[in-house]
Amino acid sequence: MRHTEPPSAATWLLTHLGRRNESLIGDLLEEYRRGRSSNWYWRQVVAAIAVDLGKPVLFALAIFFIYRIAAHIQVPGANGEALAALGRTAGATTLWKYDLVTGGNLSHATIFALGITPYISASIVVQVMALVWWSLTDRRATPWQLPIVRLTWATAIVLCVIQAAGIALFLERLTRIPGTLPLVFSPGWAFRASTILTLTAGSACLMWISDELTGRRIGNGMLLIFIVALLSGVPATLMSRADPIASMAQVAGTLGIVALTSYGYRRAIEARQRPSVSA
Amino acid sequence: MATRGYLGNFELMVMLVLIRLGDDAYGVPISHELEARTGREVALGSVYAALERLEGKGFVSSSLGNPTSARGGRAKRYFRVTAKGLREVRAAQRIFTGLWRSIPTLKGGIA
Repeated sequence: MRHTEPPSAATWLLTHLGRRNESLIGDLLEEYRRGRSSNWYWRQVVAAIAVDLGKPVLFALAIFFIYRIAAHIQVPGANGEALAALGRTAGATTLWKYDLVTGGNLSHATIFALGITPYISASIVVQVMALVWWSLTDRRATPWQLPIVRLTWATAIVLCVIQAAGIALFLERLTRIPGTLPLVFSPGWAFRASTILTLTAGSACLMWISDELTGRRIGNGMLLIFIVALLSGVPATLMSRADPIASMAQVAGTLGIVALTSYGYRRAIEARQRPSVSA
Repeated sequence: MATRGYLGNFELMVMLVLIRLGDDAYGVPISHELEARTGREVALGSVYAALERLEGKGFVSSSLGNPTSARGGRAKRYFRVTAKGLREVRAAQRIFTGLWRSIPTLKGGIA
């Protein structure tokens, strides 16, 4: 006897890997109930996912390319050769995990040194705030009009400034220790200001790309950028670790947390974009 | 030189099917018509991708119908060709007809 419901695994894949096109899922169900085979259903699902995933893959490659270029652009006033030497030793220090999630950009003090992580941290903070702060549940038409999105951006920029200032001071301190690498040519307020400005602008650029990817329904921008950064930094950093398997497990755990956070942020925006149900 | 959104081969076929189906143009009948005309299986995902491209170019507009139980409570998305889209189809017809007539060996093939 033939089932009236199509293969649930195929529907699950279409719902989770595709762009959740409800009309398409309805069309496939209607056709299946009219007598199309399970094989036909699977073929349609695979084709729909391939069409949906084509764009994210291309965009992921483009972001990967941007990351590789950015890896060669250091903050003004930093000593490139000394930073490269620091980068080679980063794998053996506590810095390795942070360096990994920024694709090696942190240890080289490049424009993407902070990566997308301030945006992820900000979205965690704001999501928790949204649970208790009623005005954040306003419903608006476009994402940028939503208080939750504006507050996440503002929090992320503040985090960027704090973290960038921390990096600038860290590099200056290392430079001042006698016998260590001269990481900064001329420490001072000019270096600190330019580092804060450059690193904040670099992360804001990634945040904008992330919003574009999500807004154009190409994929989960935050997660996509995080994974690309991770992949571009994994080989170099993990190879320099004494325990690559345990390190990999820690990286997988971090990735899981980021996936949950970015999924929650996306759902929070989508829920607020829906028009309110009137009685 | 002004840029214009040329219709791809598959997009033109989808536009012609939309004109033929009129008010009943949603995913299922569109794919049935395309399969009947081409004699090949059509992926609904590709049909929707083409329709979304056409909507982005302003050649097609869409609206949601009522959810039905036969579709698991999901609404049909109906598509219509816009006035701009109709002009584009006519322009494509003129171009194709002119090109066809300029090839002596195929001249007899068109009405």
